[in-house]
Amino acid sequence: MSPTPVTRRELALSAARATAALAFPAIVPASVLGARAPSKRVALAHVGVGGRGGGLLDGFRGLPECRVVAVSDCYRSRREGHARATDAAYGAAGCKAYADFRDLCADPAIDAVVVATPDHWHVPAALEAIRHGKHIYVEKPLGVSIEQDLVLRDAVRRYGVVFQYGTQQRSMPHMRWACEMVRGGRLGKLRAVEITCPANVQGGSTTPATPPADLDYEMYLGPAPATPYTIDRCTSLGSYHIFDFAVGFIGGWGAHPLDIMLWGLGDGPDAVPVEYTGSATWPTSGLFDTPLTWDVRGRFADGKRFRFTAPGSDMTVFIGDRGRIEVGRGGFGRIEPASLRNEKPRPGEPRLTVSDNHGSNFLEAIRSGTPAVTSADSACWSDLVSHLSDISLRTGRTIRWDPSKAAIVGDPAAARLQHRPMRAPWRLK
Amino acid sequence: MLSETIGFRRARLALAAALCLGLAAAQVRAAPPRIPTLLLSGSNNHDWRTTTPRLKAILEATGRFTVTVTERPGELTAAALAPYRLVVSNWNTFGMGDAQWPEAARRAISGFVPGGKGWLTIHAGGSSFYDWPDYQRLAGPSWTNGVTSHGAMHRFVVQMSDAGHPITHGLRLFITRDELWNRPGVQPGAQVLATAYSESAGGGAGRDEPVLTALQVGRGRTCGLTLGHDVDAMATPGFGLLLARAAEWAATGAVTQPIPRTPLGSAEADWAAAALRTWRSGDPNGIVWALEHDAGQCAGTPGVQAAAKRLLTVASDAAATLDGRRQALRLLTQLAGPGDVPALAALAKEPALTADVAALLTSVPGKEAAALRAALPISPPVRVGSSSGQIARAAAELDAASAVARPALLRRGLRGPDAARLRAAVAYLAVAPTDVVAGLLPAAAAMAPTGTIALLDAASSRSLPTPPAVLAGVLTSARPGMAAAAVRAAACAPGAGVARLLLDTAKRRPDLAPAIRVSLSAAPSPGIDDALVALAPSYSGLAATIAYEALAERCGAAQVAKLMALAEREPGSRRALLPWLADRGGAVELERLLHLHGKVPAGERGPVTDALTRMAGRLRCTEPVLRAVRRAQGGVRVELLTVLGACEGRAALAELTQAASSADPDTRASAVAALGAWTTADAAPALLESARSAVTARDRTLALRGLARVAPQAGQAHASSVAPTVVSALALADRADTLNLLLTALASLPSLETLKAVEPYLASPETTAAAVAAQIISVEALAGVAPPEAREMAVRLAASSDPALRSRAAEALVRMDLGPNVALGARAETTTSNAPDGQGGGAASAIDGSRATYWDETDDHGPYGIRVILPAPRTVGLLRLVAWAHHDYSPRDFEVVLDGATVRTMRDAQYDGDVLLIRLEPTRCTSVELRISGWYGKSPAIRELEIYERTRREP
Repeated sequence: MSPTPVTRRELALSAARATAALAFPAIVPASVLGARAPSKRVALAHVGVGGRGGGLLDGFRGLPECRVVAVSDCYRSRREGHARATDAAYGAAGCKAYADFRDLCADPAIDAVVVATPDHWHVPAALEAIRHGKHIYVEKPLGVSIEQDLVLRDAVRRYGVVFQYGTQQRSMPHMRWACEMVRGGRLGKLRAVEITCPANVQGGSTTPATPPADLDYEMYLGPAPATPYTIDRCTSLGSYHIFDFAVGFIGGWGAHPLDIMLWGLGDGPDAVPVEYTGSATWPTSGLFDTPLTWDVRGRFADGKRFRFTAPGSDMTVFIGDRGRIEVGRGGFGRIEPASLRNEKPRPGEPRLTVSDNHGSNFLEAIRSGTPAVTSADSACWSDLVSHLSDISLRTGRTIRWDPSKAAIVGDPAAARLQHRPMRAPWRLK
Repeated sequence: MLSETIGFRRARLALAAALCLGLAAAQVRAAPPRIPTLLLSGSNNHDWRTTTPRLKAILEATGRFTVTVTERPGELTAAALAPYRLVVSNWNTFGMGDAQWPEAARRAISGFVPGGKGWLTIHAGGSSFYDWPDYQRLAGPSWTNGVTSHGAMHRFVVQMSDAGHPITHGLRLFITRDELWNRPGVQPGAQVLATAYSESAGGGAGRDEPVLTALQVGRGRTCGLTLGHDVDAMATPGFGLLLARAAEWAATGAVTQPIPRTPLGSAEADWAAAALRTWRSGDPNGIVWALEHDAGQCAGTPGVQAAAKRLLTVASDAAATLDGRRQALRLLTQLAGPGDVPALAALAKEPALTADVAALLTSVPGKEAAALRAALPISPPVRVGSSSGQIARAAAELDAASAVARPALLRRGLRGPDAARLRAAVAYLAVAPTDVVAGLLPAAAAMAPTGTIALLDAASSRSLPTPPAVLAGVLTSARPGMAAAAVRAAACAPGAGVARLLLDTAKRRPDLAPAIRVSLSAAPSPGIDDALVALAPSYSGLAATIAYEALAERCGAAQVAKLMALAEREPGSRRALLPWLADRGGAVELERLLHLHGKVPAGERGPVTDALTRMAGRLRCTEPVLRAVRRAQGGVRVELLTVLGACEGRAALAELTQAASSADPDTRASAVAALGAWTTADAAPALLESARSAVTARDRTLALRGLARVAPQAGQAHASSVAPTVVSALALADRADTLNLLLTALASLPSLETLKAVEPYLASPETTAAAVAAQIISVEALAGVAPPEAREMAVRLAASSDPALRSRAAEALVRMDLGPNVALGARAETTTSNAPDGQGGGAASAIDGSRATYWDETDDHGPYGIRVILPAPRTVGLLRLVAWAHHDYSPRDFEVVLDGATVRTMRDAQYDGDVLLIRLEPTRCTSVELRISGWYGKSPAIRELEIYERTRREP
């Protein structure tokens, strides 16, 4: 195939555009933006230091580019325990333990905040941090409603902070390879993308109980409806599988393979399928009330087929008319043609941001302005797919998404489900 | 005897009905053939005399089955069973004692399903032949004495337990009144597709019981449905849906029946609503899911109001459980409408329900709902932290104050210095009504820093206009966060004065530049446009840049003249405004920019050149540019030549050609660069000439590279006229990389000249790859005509060590030997009324010589057909079919029809890759047709249908 000539006309066009786009940040001298001076260690704070949050805290503590200076959590034992452990790790006192994450976000000594709360708190806590000008690392999934995803994306843009999404698979080389192959057109024209992830579980005690003394249950609930405490409500499983706190694994686990789908398809709004029809199975008893298994089928605007099912291992499957790639966290499934496995991207084909450590990539973006490997845009789009799939399961109808309006169209009743009410006084804006 | 007669007559009637329906079905073009079904009846400990006819009616009403009833299943033989694809058993051994069926029947039954057919057992059919394992496998869930039990007939919810299975995908649940078996035996390996929760209160085991199972047996399939105790139980739409879908799957392995809307019947919905009244968290969820499903089915239909009313009645029932009432409110999310607001207003008065009503109201459209929501008392801000006793007190003070006194309290708190009151006031701002925030705004500058910031942000988030006087005070503050908050609030500030405020701030605070630009672009007053035009020239550096960029973001096409004048006057504005003008300006602006271009100093010309280039390409007017080029001299002329490169037409080309042989090196270089970016191959001769007359090696390389870029635009159709130009250039190239570029260009111009010209370059390792590529492409392009040089080259390439090259050369050889593809230039049409599929094209795509396009029609709409009509009669001896992919979306069973006569019938076509060669007795004909009755995938797609005469030797 003959190479397309780059005419002076096209060069001038792209140069002019680049001039307009780059002229602005390029003119601001780096020294003016003191926080970006590479020698400065990023002062990091953690909101939510339970199971996942504690793990992230350990990870960041090991990175020399940052220093953890504050933690907050609804469980007093967790926040104080981690604050003490952090002091021990650094060999010096100084890590503050906040009962109220809003105080933490208002602390001027903090540069960046890691949000690892249950899902229903992700966006409200992140917004609080953003409004105080803090850079944020938000655990997946993004929000518990489409409206929350869009508000968060808008806030990141308006306040200009660095954003990293907790989809650490983008910092795995084999995932990057797979997406580069897809973007480079090695699979030919893409015909379908299929996603699988593990299923939810049934169970959980519904017997009302007294919350433990060190848990601020009212704060844990936050914007979620007030319901009696049970021993399984404020556990990891509860935070994954109770609809008041999350949409279930269709978002919580699905975020990972869906994020890779976004990455392979270009990270743009056109990577969100425009039609969803699905069936699910539902737990017949117990506290956990998110769908157990599901099979959602749909299509993208350009006609590609979309399918999202559980149960299954975590897999993103790209199918084109010249091949297919199945990729999951543990490695590859089928790759066709077999010879594709040994290929590397050729000069001129798109290359994706290289990140070998998700946390370091976030810190570097703050210190030097290098691009983070995730973005609020792609996080928003991939999380939307989870929500649109979930809405198709709950309503039992075909859901249609209009990317230009960023809304569900043609079904006013389903459009109501884009919004999740928040318990007063918590609100999004 | 009587039952026999009835059975026989019914069977005859059924057959007759089936025949009539069958004929009707044949007239509906796309309907799949009916499944011949045998219904076993005549003995059962249940009332088969009423249930059998009902089962038959349900199945036949779908149009997918023709049902024959037998009351003598024991007399069946393999021959008697052979015509049927499905057996439905409403039969069990009741009354047979220990008797067995004769051997012939047992063998026939045992062999039926494994051979590829289907079996469906209803209810008690599994209670038979416990010592005959093959039958037990067919019969599905079985009654195990001592283990299985059932309570009285009662209402329960049946839920699907497999989201993806063809039977259950698209279904969610239904409510039925039936006998629910507890702990039936389930065959090993059987999938459970639907379950019902058996409550311990009714004597059940407190677990999900299987209601529908599916099992693969050999090449066939069986299903067992435990529902169907009597005709009343069979009256539920859900029962019929599951029965029919399970039957079709068992028979064929797929389900084609559409799924209708399945709202709950009103008796069932009332039952579910009644159950919701006594529901508590921890009780089985089936009721809640059933009502959620019903809500989904009723939303947006005329049934929505009845469904909403039913749930509202539950919510309003003070005697119902709190959990039930709260669930009812949640279930109303998709259903509640403005007419329900009065009922909700009454409910909101109950403290335990206020929050749930408030939440529901956020989903209800209309003014009434919004007004009610606004009127609901807001719960106090959350008190948090162990050290916040004081904050709690301050917050309580705010809550207790009257609406009249509260603003004053807030003001006091926001002013500080009392930290607790400040915190409480800031928290309260988040929920304060808009008029309270507006009332506090004028005093914003006098608050404590935290208070000011919170107040300004509260105003921004409500899009309240902040008075510029307030902003002026805060913008000058050096305290962290203050100026930034004021900049954000400025995005809604009224009046044009805010432009000057923001620009002054930009001068002092370059770190706020991004936010200032956003606010300047968003500020609502239209006066800002003019303010920016007037003010911008008095600023310099970053502030000026921001002003111009904000202008470019704000202004529309109506302000082109104004911004053009500004760009002419102010050099500092050009970086931001010229690209904007380039995208919107017209012929007048083009002239003005050309004029400007001639006047600005050399160092500032670049952006103007870029803008001109973009505009010239957009507007496509060459004349003004040509005039300017001819008038200009020196450096101006050199840059204008670049602009000319974006124009089109012979006049521009002629001017550039002349400039390419100028004495001045800069002019030459600019002209050559412009020629090298030309959009057609017409610039090729000029570039060759320039390369020939080049003085320096650099100039020559530039011209040759340009030639390599433009020549391929001639396309394959004109390859032979342009290729010689490139071939001549080969001799001029003195570097391997330039040579490779030219050779690659030749690869896009496949022709005989190319083939011969690249021969010398095969030997040198640096150029081998490009030369070989050019050769194989030329060979392939010439395969239709097959001159001897091409054939020779193909033979040589077919012996190459590179496997990809070998196979391409071999394929080209095959095509050369075949002679020309006479389908090219013919006419193609579809022989059915199918429409082309969105991805594929019409019949013409199959004979356009391009693999990239293909003929494809709507999925599952067979049979398919395509006909090629040759312009003149030919002796057709070979067809070469290139399908969409190997055994995927390709013809499998079809007839080859020449001039209306079938000459070849293909069954289970086996492709080599995606190619199928079909040899025919050479037949003189004008039309070649394929009648396709079977296909791989969901429809047959053909990339190319090539038709060859057999005048040359056999391949």
